[in-house]
Amino acid sequence: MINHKKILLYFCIVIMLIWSLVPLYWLILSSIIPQVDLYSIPPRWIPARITLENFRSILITGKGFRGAVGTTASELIKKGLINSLIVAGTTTLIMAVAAPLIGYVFARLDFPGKNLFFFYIIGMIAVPSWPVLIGLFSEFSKLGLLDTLTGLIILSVAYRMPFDTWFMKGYLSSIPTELEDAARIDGCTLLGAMFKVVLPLSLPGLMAVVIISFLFSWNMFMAPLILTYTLKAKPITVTISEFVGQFYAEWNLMSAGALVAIIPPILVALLFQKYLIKGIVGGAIK
Amino acid sequence: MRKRAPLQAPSQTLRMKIRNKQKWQRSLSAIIDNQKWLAYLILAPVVILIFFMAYFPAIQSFRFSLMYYNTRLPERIHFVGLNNYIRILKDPLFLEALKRTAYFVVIAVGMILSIALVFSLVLNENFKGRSILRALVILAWAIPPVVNGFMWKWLLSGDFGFLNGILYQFGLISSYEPWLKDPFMALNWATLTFVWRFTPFVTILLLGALQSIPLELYDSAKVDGAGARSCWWHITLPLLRPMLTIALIIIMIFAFTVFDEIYTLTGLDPATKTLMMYGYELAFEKGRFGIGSALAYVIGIFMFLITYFYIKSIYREVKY
Amino acid sequence: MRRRDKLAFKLKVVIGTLLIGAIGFCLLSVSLAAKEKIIYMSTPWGVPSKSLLAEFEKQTGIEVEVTTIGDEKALRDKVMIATAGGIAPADVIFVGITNVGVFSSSKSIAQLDEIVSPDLLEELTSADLFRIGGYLYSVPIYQQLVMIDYDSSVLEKMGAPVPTTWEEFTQLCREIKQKGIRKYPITFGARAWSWYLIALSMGGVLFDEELNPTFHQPDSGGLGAMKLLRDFFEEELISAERITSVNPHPSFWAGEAVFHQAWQGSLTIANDPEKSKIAPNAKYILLPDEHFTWSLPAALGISAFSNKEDEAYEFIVWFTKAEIQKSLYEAYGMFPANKAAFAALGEAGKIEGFDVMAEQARFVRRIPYRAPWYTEFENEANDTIKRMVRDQISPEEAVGHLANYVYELKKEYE
Repeated sequence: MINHKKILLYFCIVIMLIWSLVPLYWLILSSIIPQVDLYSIPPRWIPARITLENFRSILITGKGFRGAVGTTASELIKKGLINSLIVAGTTTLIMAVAAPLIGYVFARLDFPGKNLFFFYIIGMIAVPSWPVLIGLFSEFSKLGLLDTLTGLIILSVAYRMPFDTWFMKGYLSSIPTELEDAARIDGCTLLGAMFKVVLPLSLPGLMAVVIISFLFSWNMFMAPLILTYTLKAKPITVTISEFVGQFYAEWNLMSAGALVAIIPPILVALLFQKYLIKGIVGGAIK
Repeated sequence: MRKRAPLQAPSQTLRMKIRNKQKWQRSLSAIIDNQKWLAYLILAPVVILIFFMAYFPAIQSFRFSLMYYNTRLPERIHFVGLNNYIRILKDPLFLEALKRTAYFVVIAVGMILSIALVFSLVLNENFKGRSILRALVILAWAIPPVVNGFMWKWLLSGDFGFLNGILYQFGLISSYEPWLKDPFMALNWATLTFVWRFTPFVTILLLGALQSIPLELYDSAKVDGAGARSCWWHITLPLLRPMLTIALIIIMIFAFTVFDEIYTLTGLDPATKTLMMYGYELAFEKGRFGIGSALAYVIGIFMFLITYFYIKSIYREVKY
Repeated sequence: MRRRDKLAFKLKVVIGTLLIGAIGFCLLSVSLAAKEKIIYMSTPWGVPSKSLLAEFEKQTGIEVEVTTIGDEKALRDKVMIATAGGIAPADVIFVGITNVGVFSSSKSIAQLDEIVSPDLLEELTSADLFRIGGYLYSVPIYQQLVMIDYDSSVLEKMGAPVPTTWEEFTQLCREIKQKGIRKYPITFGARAWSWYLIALSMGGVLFDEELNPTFHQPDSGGLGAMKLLRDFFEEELISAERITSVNPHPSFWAGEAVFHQAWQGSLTIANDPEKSKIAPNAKYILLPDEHFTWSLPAALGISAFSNKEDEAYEFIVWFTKAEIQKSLYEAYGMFPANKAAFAALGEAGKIEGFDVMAEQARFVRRIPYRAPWYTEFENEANDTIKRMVRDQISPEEAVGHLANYVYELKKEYE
């Protein structure tokens, strides 16, 4: 009996590995082998020779469209990366401060209209995306936020509110109140109690919220697509899609570019997977 | 308690200053010590932000949905009431898009739930390298959907793609096929692309639920003579049901609004024109803000209903 | 008491830093906006080199920020959204002829009659095409006839003559495929332009003077072209990849096909060994049958919402100068709209395939770009053709549907 189970288990493990990794392997393979090897039928599965030429050509020599005039590939990718980092990073920082505060408000405080406020924030997710983008577009233009990183950051923070609020509320609710009560008895104000007691305890949950915020903020596409025009503010998700359009059929270059675009979120996911998992599970249950 | 420095007799103005400061501090701490005011203080910026980033534009576009708004003819914008909604519901392209979206969602839910269930069961077992496998499984979810779409487009390429390569290698096909040519298959592949990216998320959800099932239940069942199969049917599955329901609703919500992947995989190809893609086309390519907004609100109502049932199901399942 | 002091102090510090940060940020963004600057929005093939732009800045003190959008459709979307929001996406906008009708009717670009000097227009060709309702909406920067080019090495190998009718063309391609020389000898995208190409050269007119469709009539080139296009895909003379990836150029330059929908000037790229694998064998062929083709010039317009019209106009004038025009030709194969520059290139022998092009230029028809509904028609045509080559509808149904669509559009835009 046990043997059967073990064999089944290992079989499943292998399937899982193949399922999860093969597409990524293909992407990596396409970007590190020379085009000749890639464009053969069938291609060489284990690379005979590895080259960084693709990366060099898009990042350093900066191949341009049909030549080297106009916006070059390296500009698209580098600027896109920087913009994404700024937007996702700033959003994460802001949420790291805001989420526990807001969660605290809903988990610990009592005030009139509490439920109303909560559903006001959560209800945001029911609002359909693209017509909102149209209205948002004219709003942004009047406020001068079009094609700015600031505008994207503000939008990104707003989009993160529902999930982060919900999660932090749930998380903080599950922390016992004795410590805070003790602190209050010692003469702490509400705010003080929050900073000194609740915040340190909520760190694991906060990490989860922060990691998920970063990932979702990095992966935004439709909103920046509509709200940005120039490399001043385009995040890498948008520049990568343009990059792919310009270099159509140069699959090795496109793969290299795509790889550069996904390395940051994948790194974050790998390094912080514990917190990521906690975030996913926690958010759904609570 | 620390010792206080010996007080010296303060002057008149100094006394006044101290009194003002104390008054100010009292009102400040009245705020930060008072639940109501603290809550409002913290929530105020959030409320304003969300109003301007979500609700206000939503009201704007609801207004648009009641008008004929063709960006090509800006002078002709006028009120038409619920006309747009009626036109949309009668539009054959809308019905086609609806069918495609329904197909997409149903297949996505079915595939993701079954695959994630198997994966989570595997990850629930104890074996060496379990956390490594878990980390690798999660990778797919971290990929930006835009890049995911591109990756699969390349993978399925009829020129030099991976799928063709491997099938050819194993002698399963004699020549390379353009996998995205057939419209039905194109829709299937789009679904698979989404399934591939989203499964890890659901896997982790189910894993969490599995791991919260107390082991004593299994032990006492074994003592009572239960075999593996009845353990599954009578313990595992029922206890997983709440999470499965939650997962189902989450998948539905996300599957309904897939945009990035289809945009990069097949663009506005009629074969994969789901409701989202159709709406994007109406609003941004044909410039029909009026009808586009109406369509979006129709979708929005669907989504709202789904979200409503989601929240309800969570609160209902609490009693488990 | 002490604790409250500390807390109040902390709060003050936090608020203080936030305020300072905010002020600093504002100052920073303001200081970065000093110089005289215009924004130029274009597709990749309308962008002058960095060195040329730097020269312009030196000469005039105007800095040009270029934003490139992948293709004309995406550019159109961006401009239309901006118009809906009442703002200028850029000061100078690249206006491909496909977009001029839409841009003008939506009032996205300004009427230029007051700003543009007639002398400037004298120097340029195709200015007429950018006049709608008597008003000029943009200044042409390049002219472009649609043509077909081919890999002559393949025909030489086969000892085959250049086809002059569509029948010969099709037969030749079948032979090429049968002999295994090229798997997919033709590269046309599954899109409206391929249909136009075949239909016009078959002698079809597509639209009459009132812009009523004629392409659905049984004897018209329109229907015949649909059928031929369908056959091409069915017999796999065109790769099915062209359904989802309609851009035909990369596969031609990668040496995968023999015949390719190109443009006047495309040989500059096709015969450049750095950009194309079939160099130096690419040549033009006169379109088969009745030879008619159409033209896809492009121009520069000024956004209706821009407040920098003077600077924008300076940029446009500079753009039409011979040197810049020449550089566009050398980089992208785009023929100068500047008549003198074009003639100079011809005399210097720099224009490849000049003879065929001159001959082809005698057979040009018009596509109704000026209609405000044109782009919607083209989008629908693209979709319909995709469904047709996938065998979901027949060619008759395809043209019938498109004709109906045009009638509906015309009614709406009355």
